[in-house]
Amino acid sequence: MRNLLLKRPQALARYVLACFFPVATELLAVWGFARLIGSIQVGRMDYFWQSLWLTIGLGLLGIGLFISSRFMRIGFMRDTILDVRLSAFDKILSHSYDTFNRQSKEVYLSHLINDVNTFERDFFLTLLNVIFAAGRYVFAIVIILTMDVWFALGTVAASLLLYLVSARFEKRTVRIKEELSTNSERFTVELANTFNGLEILKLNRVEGKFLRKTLASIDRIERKKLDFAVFTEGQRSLTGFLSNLVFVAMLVYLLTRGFDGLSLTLLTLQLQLAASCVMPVGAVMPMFNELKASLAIYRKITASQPEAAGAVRRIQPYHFSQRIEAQGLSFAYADQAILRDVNLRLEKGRKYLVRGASGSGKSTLLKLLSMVQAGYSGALTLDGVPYSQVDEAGFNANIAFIYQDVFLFEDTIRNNITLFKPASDSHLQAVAEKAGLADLVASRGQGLEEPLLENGKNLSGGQRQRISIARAIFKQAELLFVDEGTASLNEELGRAVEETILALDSTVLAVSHRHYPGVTERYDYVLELVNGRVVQYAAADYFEAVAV
Amino acid sequence: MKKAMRRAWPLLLAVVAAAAIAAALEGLLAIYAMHAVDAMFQRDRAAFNETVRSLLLVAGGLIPAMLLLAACRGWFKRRAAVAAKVDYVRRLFSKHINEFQAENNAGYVSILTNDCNTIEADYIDGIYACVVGIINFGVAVLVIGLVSPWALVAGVVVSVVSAVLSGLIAKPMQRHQAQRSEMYATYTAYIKEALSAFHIIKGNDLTGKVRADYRAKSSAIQHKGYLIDRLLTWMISLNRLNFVLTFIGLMGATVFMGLKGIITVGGVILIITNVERLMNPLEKLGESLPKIFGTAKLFARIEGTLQNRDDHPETVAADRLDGALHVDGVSFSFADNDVLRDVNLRLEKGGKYLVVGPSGGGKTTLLKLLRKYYAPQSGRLLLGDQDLRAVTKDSYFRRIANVEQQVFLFEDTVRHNLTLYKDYPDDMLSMALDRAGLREFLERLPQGLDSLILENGKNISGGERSRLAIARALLNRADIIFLDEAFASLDASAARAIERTLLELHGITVVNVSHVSFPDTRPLYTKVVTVKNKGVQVA
Repeated sequence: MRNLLLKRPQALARYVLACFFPVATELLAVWGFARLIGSIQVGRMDYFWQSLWLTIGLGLLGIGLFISSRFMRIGFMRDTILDVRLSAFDKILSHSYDTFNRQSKEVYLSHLINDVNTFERDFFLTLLNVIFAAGRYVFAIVIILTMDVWFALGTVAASLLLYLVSARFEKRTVRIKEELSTNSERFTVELANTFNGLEILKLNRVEGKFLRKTLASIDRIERKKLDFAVFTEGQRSLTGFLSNLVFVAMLVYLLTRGFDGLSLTLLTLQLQLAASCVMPVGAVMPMFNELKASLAIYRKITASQPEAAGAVRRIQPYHFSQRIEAQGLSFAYADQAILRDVNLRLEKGRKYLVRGASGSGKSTLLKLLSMVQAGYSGALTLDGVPYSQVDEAGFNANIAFIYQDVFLFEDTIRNNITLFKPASDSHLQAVAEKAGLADLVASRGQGLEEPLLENGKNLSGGQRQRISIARAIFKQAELLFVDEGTASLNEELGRAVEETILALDSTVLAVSHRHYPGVTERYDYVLELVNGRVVQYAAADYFEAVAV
Repeated sequence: MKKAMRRAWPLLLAVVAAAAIAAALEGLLAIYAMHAVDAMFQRDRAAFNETVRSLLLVAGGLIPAMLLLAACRGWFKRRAAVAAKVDYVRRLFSKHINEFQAENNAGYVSILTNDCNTIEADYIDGIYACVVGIINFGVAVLVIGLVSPWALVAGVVVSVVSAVLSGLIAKPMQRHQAQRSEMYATYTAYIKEALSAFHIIKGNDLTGKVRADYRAKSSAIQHKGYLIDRLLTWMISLNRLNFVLTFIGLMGATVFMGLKGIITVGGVILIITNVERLMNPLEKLGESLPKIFGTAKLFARIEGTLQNRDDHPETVAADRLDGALHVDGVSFSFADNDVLRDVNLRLEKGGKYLVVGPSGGGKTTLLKLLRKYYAPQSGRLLLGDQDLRAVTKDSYFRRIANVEQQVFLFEDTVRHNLTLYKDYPDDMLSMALDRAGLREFLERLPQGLDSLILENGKNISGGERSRLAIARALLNRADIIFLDEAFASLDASAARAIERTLLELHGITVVNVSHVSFPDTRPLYTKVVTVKNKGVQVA
């Protein structure tokens, strides 16, 4: 945080200085007000007019100070928040696949949107208010001290008392608030689950049960909210009552001094300073907490994660000319063993088809071999170099995926295939042809330059999948991972795409349920997963003996 | 929804009463303070002491009044919020499935969370603020009027002018805020995309490009915020100028009256300290009323998500589906997009039908028509000789079973996920489990049928999910089983075993919609229906 603020020392100094302007405005206004009231006691018209003009002048000065204070602050705020956004984003981009996948995308999204917005809304506002309240407090007390030492001390004591009272409530408030927020999170998840299943619920006529359940949760959550509202309001009433009491006491004291000849101007001035500048210091406590909360958010979204202890540095450059090898590879997901002591060897340039019953760990095997998932035991090597030491960027630059879920940029078909790399039209046309995209490209008015709508809304499932296939073909990666790559395509197209994949120079590792007679047999090997172990067959033998 | 919230009105009366008591006490406090000041100026110790006693007494009475108001407010808000949400959820549950699914689920969730929060803040709190504001205003009028009717008139005029001015000033701000919130929507969409593309970004060295894009978009957002802040500075300054001139003017006038002896010193102080009580409620009203009216659009939009467009009366209950299901000259289109044109198909009772065809050819639409999710735009669906449109959904759903590719699981036991909270004898359960090929899965689970399925079915594989859905259908003893790509995540041998089981079911109609078919099970079907080019061919 310190680094963030000190990045622009001059702007920061200007900002802090600007935070004191409102203090001056307030103190001057109090003085003008007291003098105007006091003019009744003075009883001279010229003094009255003089005071009135003075008060108006001070009011206008206050507006001037407000404008300059704002302009001294908002530029700094803009630049600083932009920095926060960028460092939060950089933190996410600096993840490796493995650490990125440990949290859901929604968490990152919430960091970049909700958390940054909360920080933007709260941080500078509370900072300003803390500086303002503290400045006002100190200056007001110093002024009162010069007039009436005992009154000043009494005021300080009363303000501290109020502060302690509200501090006692603060902890409980924070706790209830947290409970409230976890409750509503749970409620949201529950709602989303129920709505996702509403079709099934209705088809099976159990929606009544879930309706009652949902209504009960609504009632529960609203009751919690009521508790919170009554508690905070009650607390506010109590502190409000105490400050009223203190105000009455101050009034009575000052009025008694009035009997002894204290002028109306000074009486008003002291009362105003004490009531509106010193007493509100109780409100600073929650602000401090908010400031702390903002800082916690900042740390959460920008602090880089410490490397796991004992992590091996990824220093070996990517180099693949012979084989990928797994020895004694095991992987468990939440205590459930998925892969057990797997031994396999992928020779460069060969095509491997992974088969196995559903739930047998095919996708996991693919994730481990494509470095998307770590946390395995046993050895996994690329040309003899352990995966954990291979430079990730170099590895990623040489692999491609064809998965069922396709991500599309809101950009042209061209850029979605090339992923913003330069390419000649003829080459791209050939790629599109191979991926079965030629019809789509031809049917769109602007061909390859046709823009896709948000996340490919104007494409069918099969078309989306073909874009991902085109990407992989275009990239000419050395290693291609395919997970049910033709599942949303019809027979004819699926067969054509399968043929294209088999004709590539890349080493291919594909998971597929589909069988295209006459094509699927052209894989070199079949890796069959049974009970967490891998059995390797030559494809020709497999399709002849083991059958489909 | 608004109508349902009327149930909270009685509590609003309690709020009115509590607020009146609190405001009256505060008014008294102001009046005693005035007397105390005047007593001091008249050098009357006895009157002063007596006033101070009353002052303390009233201040003491304020605490229970404030607590009562806080409690009433809480009760009112709770009753209103619960009424709104309960009404929404109830009506949402009674929506037709197809119309429910026409909108994104996230939208409904967002209505129940974000929009309901807005309603709470703008509508419920707005009404509360208006009611309390009016009462406080009334008390302030009484208190000031007591001292000087002239000051009251001046005070009211100044307050009204000030409230109107700040209302006018808020207008251009709202436009800017709306623009910014639009920018935020696209910004959020962009970030979502970028996050889902993480492995694509990393794998294709797009980090630099994405970072630059993000920087540009973030910078635009922050700059817009800066422009708003700048504009806001001028707006607030104008507002302050208005306040300074009117408030100081009023103060000057009051002090002037004090100087001329028209009112006492205590009166001057009372007016000056209470003018705020005139201005604050008006300002609150100025803030709250546009918000309350602003929710009208929101209410309309929320109502819109609850409308059932198709409200054909359903009068006939189907006890057993004995006859054939007959698709008679049915056409269907989404907006301008024809999906099915003049389709004729007869599904005999107990028949087994394989529905195949290319993706996007209309298979799913045909299935949804058969499931009575929507009615055809022309032609009829006949159940025996009964128009399906007139059959009640509840009775029809009782007779059909459905197996989807995406199987929905509850965070509950395996048993409840199978039975969907109905009671079945154990032998029936056992048979369904065997037929669906779930025996092995169950034996692996530590607590068998009573094991919990974790959130989102994390501890159950895709194939096991499909089998669970098939077991559900078998348990249901339905007359028709609809399969929608039900075998897509099963490996071939498992798929075929289950398919055979289903095809052997006697007297039960099976409609299997699938893009894959196995040559050896294909002959077991009564008919193979090919859906393509907006029509069907039966072979």
